[in-house]
Formats: sequence, C-alpha cells, structure tokens
Amino acid sequence: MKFVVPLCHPDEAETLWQHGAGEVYLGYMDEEWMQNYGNHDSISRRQGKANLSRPDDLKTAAQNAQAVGLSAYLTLNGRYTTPQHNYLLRLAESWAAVGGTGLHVYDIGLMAELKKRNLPLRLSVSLLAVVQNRATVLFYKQLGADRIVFPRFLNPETMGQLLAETGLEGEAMVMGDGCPFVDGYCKGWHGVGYGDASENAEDIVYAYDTQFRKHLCQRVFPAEQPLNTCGACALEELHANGIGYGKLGGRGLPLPIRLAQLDFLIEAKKIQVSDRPQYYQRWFAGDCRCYYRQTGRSYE
Amino acid sequence: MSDRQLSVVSFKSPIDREHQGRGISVENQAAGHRLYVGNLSCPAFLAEEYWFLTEDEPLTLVLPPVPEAYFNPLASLLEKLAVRQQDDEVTVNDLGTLHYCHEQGIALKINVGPLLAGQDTAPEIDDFITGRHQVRRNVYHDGKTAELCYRQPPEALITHWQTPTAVSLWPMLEQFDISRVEVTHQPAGFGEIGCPLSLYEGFVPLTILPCRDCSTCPKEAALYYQDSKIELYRKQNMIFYKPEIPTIPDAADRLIRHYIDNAL
Repeated sequence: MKFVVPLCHPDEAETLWQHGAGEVYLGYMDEEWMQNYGNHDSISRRQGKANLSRPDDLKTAAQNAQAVGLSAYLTLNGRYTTPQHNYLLRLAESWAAVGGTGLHVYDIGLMAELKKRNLPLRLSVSLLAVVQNRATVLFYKQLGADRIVFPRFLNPETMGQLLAETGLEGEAMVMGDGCPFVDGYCKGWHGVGYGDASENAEDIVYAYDTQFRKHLCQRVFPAEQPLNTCGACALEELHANGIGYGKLGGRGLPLPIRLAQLDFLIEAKKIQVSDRPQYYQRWFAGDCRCYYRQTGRSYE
Repeated sequence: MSDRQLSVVSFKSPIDREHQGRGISVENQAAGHRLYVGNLSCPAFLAEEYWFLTEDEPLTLVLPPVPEAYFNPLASLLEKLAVRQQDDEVTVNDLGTLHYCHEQGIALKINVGPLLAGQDTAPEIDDFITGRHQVRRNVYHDGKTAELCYRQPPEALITHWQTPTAVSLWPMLEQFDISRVEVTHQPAGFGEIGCPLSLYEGFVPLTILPCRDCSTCPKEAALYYQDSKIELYRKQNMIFYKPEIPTIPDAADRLIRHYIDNAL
C-alpha cells in the first residue's frame, strides 16, 4: 500500500518521500479565484492557507514530486457551477502542462468537461462523492475515473465488493482528518476562522464571515480530536480488498505533524496488528480512534 | 406575483402525523393529488413492508443515497411501483441510483432529489450576504493584530451559493430523462433552464451521520445541538434545521409539506 500525503508547500516533496510517502496531493487557491469565490472551502474543501497560491508553486511542486518519483494529484473536489468551469479547466490544463499526475474530483459536470478535453491526467474520485454502491462506481468509471477514494464509513470488505472487477484503483483514509458526519453530504460552513486578539489592531482585514471560529463538527463534538483517527490496524485488510492507497488527511497541518503521522504508519506496518493501538498510544501520547472500528472505538 | 399554479403535496410515513395549514400561505394553491413517501437520508425502509403500494394517489418515492446492501430490495420495490401505472415518480439522491433507474428503463418519472441537486445550505450564508451578525472584532492575522471588518461577498460567490449544481448539470440530466429537480433551500437559476422545481417546506438538511446501529438510531426528531448561532435537530441519520419561512421561487410548481415531526 502506498501512503498518500498532503503537500502544503512546493518544496516538501523530497522530505515526504524520504519519510516514505508514495504519493502527494495538494490544493490550489489563487487571487483570481478568491476575488470571485472567496477564501473558504469553495475550490477544494480546505480553506485559506492549506492551499498553494501561485502558479509557480504548482510548477515547482509538480517538478519536485517528479524528481523523487512521486505521483502528485491536484484536489478539485468542490461542487461547481458553470461559471467556474473555465477557470477550473485552465487550472487543470496548467497542472497537466507542468507534469501533474492527476486530479481529485467528484463534480460530474467538471468531469464531463475534463473528459472532452482528454488531458493527460488521471482522475481520482474524491471521498466527497460518497461512493457507496457499485452503480456509482460504474457511473464514475464511464466519466473517466481511474480511482475511487471511499468514504470514511465504509468497511474494507464493502470497498472490495464495490471495486471488484472494475479495474479501478482504490484509496481509503488511514490517518487523521476524522469526521463525525458524512463529509460529502455535510454543508457545515468551513471558513477561515480568525483567532480573537485583545491587543490594539495594527491593520484591517475584511471578511464576510467575521464571526466564524470553528467548524460545525468542532462545535458539536468539542472534545473530539480528528487528528487521532487512525486506520493502522486495518492496513492489511484494506490492501487485501483492493485498496492500494492509504490516505493521510490534513492539508494545512504543519509538516512535523504530517511527518509524525507518516512515520508512525511506516513503523506500525512492521508490528503485529494487535500491538498497534498501544504503539499508537506510545507514539502520540494519547488514545487512537479507529476509522474501521477494529478497536471498537469510533465516533458515536 | 406569478400566475403559476402551485401544487401542495404531503410527505407521509407511518411515523409522521399529518399536518394542516401550517407554513407558507400561497395564492393559486391547489391540493396536489400526490403522496410523497420514503426517506431522504435513511435506507432502512427499503427492507421493510411497503405500506404505500396500495395507496390510491400517485406516489413519489423519495430514495436516500442507497448503500450497496440495499440495492436488491430497491430493485424489487421499483418493479412493484412501476406496475401500479399510476403516474408514480422516484426521487433519487445519489448518482448510482440515478444511473441504475435510467439504465434499467424503470417505468417511472425520475426526479433529482435535494442531496443530489447540490445546494449550499449552511444557515449562515444568508447572514454573509446581508451582513447580519457580522460584527467587527480584533483578530490575529499574518503575525499581526488586525480589525476584522465585514465586507459583502463577491456577486459571483452569492450567485454560486444560490445556484444548485443541478442547474449547471441540466444538459447532462436531460439525458437521464429527469422530470424535475427538488430542493430544500431557496434556489436560483431554475427559471433559465425551464426545469420543473419542487421545494420541500419545513426543514433544510445540513449534514448526515454515518449509519451505525439501527436499534439505537432515533426514529423521532429531537433537538440535537444548540448554541447562540444555530439550532439543529436530528431524526434518524439526518441533521437539519428549521428555516425561516422562505419565498417560494417563481420556478417552483410543487410545494412538499414535510414536517419532520409534529413535536417540532
């Protein structure tokens, strides 16, 4: 199984590769997009600075990934409307031109347009598509999908059944970014969120969501830590069911955190499954929460 | 005021009770001779008795996103519905079910449901547009302290928020012989595409919980979460809020009265 890791800076590829990443994915949000559609999660389910922001950064990221043999996917997993398509297609063409491997998508309008253009990009269907039946897998295959990223709530066996004999790759969450809801159906606002300051202001910043501080899930489940959601105990079972890619969540997390999560998974693979929860506890100094309920502990 | 004739229909289940006269008062309102049944988010009814098949009125069967394990019962139910030949419809909420119904040539009208129509339903969006509640405060920004002030979102963003994805997808959806699109929130853009539009009244889905154990899943709606900004309710796996009474869009010709629970 290859580990798919978020890349948040164009120069991170080599470091991630050295720590065992098998693939990277990234987001992009530039001034043109923000001027029209804001800086919340409008383009790719991550707001603000979780995204690269300059065309040169995209090029550098793609080239650095290629240099160490890493595939690189650009995340375009928003819901889009027609006025946005021109920009997104230009972005996809730019990504292909600089050597990007593929796109994470789920909007079928965008996918239909991408198919017409026949770009040299692989298409991975985001977990936001909530693919939970075989008919949806086959529908996305018709639209040109090469891979399905399964939603968090499916078990490995069901993923295997949905993938069987389709020829598609499979990807599933294995670390971090836990969500108590079905992410693809969640319309909770994901804004930028500014921390309160008591000092006198030196500058002025404008926003339309001045009161946003936390995601809905963080308000409803204030004690939960999505970082500690883990699939280490299910790696072999996922792989046996056709899941060749294990996704680490958390675009926007500091690099040391992402490296610690990746290092843990690399080391966890070397020990018995039954020992991994305790190993997690020692590594992260806290309890894990299981993505696939192996330990019986998950949201609700 | 438009001259459209608005058909008002009811969503009925063995649990929900019927309601009279609440909600929007509309002119040119006609009692729609149609019954909505099924469930927008929970698939459990697909494995239960189909009490509604003997109803005299035309039915609209609302399907949730359908897990693979429920596809065989779904296929059986659609066949039973199709033989009624009573102008029945099916409202689908995932691409696979849509694709399946079309590929199988199911002899029912197919509607796109709210979860597939693709709307931004965050209750804060109306406040972002109007500036309501967006008070100034001091914040940390780029290593400095800044005053965070309200500015109205760009027009392109407002239009995007108000336009369901189904509007952009209409050329593709027409290939699936879609009869109408159904939404729960004030939409824009439908007048341009000439697509029949239904509006669900009484609730707006905000998010859905993953299914765990049906035996512990609440069958009756109840308050789920409350803070100074929002009041959320839960019934089965759906988390929803009660909207302010909206203006019915001119493009809507069907109003679906769906009071999740009389207790609310």
